[in-house]
Amino acid sequence: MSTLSSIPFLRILEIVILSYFLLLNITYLITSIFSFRLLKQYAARLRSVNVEEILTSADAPPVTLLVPAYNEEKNVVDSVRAFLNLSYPEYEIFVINDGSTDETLALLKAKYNLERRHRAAPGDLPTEPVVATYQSKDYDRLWVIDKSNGGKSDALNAGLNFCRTPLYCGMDADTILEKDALIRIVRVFLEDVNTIAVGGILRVANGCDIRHGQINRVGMAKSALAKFQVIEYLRAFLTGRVVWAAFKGMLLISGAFGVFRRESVMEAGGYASHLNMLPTVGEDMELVVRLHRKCYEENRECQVKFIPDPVAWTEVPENIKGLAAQRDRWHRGMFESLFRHRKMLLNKKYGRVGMLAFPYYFIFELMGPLVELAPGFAEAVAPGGSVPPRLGQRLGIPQEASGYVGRGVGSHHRRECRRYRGTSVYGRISGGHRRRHVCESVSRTGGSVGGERRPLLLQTRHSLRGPLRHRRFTRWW
Amino acid sequence: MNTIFSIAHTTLFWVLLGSISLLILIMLVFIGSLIRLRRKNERIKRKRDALEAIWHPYILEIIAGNRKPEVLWGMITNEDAVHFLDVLLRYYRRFRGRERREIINLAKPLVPQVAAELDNEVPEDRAKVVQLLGVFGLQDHTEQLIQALNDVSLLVAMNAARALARSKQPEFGKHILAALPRFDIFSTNVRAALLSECGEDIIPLLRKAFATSEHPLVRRAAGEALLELADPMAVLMASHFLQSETDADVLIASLEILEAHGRREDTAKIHPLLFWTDESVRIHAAKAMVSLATPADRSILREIFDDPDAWISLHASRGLHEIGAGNVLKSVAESDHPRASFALQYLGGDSD
Repeated sequence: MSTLSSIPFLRILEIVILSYFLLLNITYLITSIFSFRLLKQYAARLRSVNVEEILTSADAPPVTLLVPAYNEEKNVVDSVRAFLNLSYPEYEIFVINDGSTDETLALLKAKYNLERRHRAAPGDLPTEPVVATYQSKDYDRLWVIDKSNGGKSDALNAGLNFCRTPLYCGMDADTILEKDALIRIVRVFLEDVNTIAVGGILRVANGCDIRHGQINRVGMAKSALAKFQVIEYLRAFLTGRVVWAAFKGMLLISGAFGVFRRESVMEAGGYASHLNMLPTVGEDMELVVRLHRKCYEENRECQVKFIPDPVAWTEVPENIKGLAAQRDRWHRGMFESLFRHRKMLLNKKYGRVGMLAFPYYFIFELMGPLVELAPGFAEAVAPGGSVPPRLGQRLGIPQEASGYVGRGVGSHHRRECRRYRGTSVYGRISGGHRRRHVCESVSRTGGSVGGERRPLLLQTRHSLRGPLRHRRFTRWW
Repeated sequence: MNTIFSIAHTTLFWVLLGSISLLILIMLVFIGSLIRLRRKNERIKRKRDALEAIWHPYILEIIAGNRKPEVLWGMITNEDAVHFLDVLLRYYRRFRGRERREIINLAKPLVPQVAAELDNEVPEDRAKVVQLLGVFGLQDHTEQLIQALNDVSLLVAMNAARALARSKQPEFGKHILAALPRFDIFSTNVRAALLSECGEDIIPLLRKAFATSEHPLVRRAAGEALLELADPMAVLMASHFLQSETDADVLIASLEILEAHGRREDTAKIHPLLFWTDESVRIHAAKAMVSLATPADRSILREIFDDPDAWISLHASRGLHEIGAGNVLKSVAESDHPRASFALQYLGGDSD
């Protein structure tokens, strides 16, 4: 009986999985083609304007960098030094020490000559208590907010309460910003008053020569896992986000680097923390989705944009354990954000966000791990414990095809951004396209590619586990 | 039943397989065109790099006055004209004075060829041409630049407006002001900077726009431009508008002017705006009040400290501090006022 019923089931599963990957790869192809055009247009646009001239003549609005830090003693001094050296006319830096148990605060005090100084907080977002505020005697623009531990969202909310500039840049303590990143990203706010948030491209810093918190020489990561993430980041930022932003459906601005209009975020209630609303580990995505939702509900024109030009660099995990933890968190954050705002799914009221972006994220981003695990499931239910050989072979086809899209992304990047100079390095990126599934699988497609299957399934399992465990813990660092 | 299922399954399977093959084919074509395009771009880049390497020593010698520009003109083909002017633009930004004039002179004969590109279909290319014309061919191509203010692309129109504004010729002011409502998507700062860039000769036009334009955004930009140009008459106008106008943009521009250059007697006119319904007007009124306040205004500053908007409280605290009303701040800081910490900041207190 079991044998008879499992065979049609497997056949249906086979068709479903093939259709899924076909659709996924069609989406990749479409976004690649669109992003190709958009990047070309962006590069041409950039050549026809003088960014510095616009900003200097138009009184570039002041910006606050919000740098939440928890046990960041290794990076924080160098990172702050780099933030102090940004090319931007007027900005403040708030390092928010979220109850670190290591020497983060002591190091900052010692290196930057901090002095305890009262600063009033005009914002009223609920946060864990602020213990003290410090200002550097050497650098007026540097402030440290010392507060009780409450998680990243809570730290960002505390920073927002103290922020007095119209724009702020949310970032991680280990993010490395290129010197002119702020100038380039703020231009978007000057050119469109409806812009409420702008994301910039985030790149993998592993393998780069970093000195005093700045990229001295761009290089390729040594470990295979980091290399795959280089391709993954390029695909995600240079095709995915470029196109979703152009379609006015961008749901995510990375917490590691994004500039927001303070007023809009405050009106939306700040970041979701355990004190102001249901907390989430994906506070960056949840905030952007909430901003979209609010704009649609209030019938206001708002723009969430992405520009591929300003570059921030970040270290990616180089071992399976670190990667698994990261993907677990990302997927859980995505699940929480989408589930919390599920009202928007296929709801005309929410325009392209509800009708296009939400279904895409639900089907391809959120459900991805389930489909990835389908062959394994099929294997388990198949008579005799073996999946029909055709199924595995067929599944390989669309996945392999998506690898070529990855190669296209590499070319896009080579063409437009030219960060990885030298053929050998580029070759090392694009040469990895065949094994790109490993990196892709980490976020979505998964599947089996030769000997890589075991770690792939592990990643898929962690991506899947995230949403399942979403109630377990809600604060993270 | 099983047979029907089997046929349906097989058909569906082959349809899917066909779609996948088609997809792979499209991807291959896409990748092929990408590779071709990349090769083409690299070829162009190599060619441009080589040309720049040839031009560079000539340009430097011409700027230094050691060579005649004719030597280089003969080397530039029609096809390379835009690229050559783009290269010259880099030098133009680096130099000033006589050297800059040499660069403009060097560019001159090539400008008509570049101007012909204004018909290009690609907005970004037109914007580039407008940018080059604005720097190297303003005098001979004024009409084209004025027409570019009405280009369908906002990018082209803005580049044209910037080019005309940079020339500091007042006669362009009316064209820029007329085009200004098109730039409503840009921030007020950008619009005001564009107008003030036109220079002091445009002040009469700006006064007229500030007083009579039918677009509040134009009035605000004109007011802010007058502020940047430090026009004394603007103070009188702003003072008058506080009583006669109700539009938030006009009131904000007026309050900004008074904040910078207002007189003591203007505080009476600012006073009603401290309780205006529009929050942004109230904030600007508070800032203007603080900049003009004397110790006699401590009660009004204390009153607006209780405004529902935290920013107004913060400005009021600063005002109280600046007029030396430390005792008022101290009493607030020691009270259970929800914003006691604002007062504490200006008393120079430590955080608790």
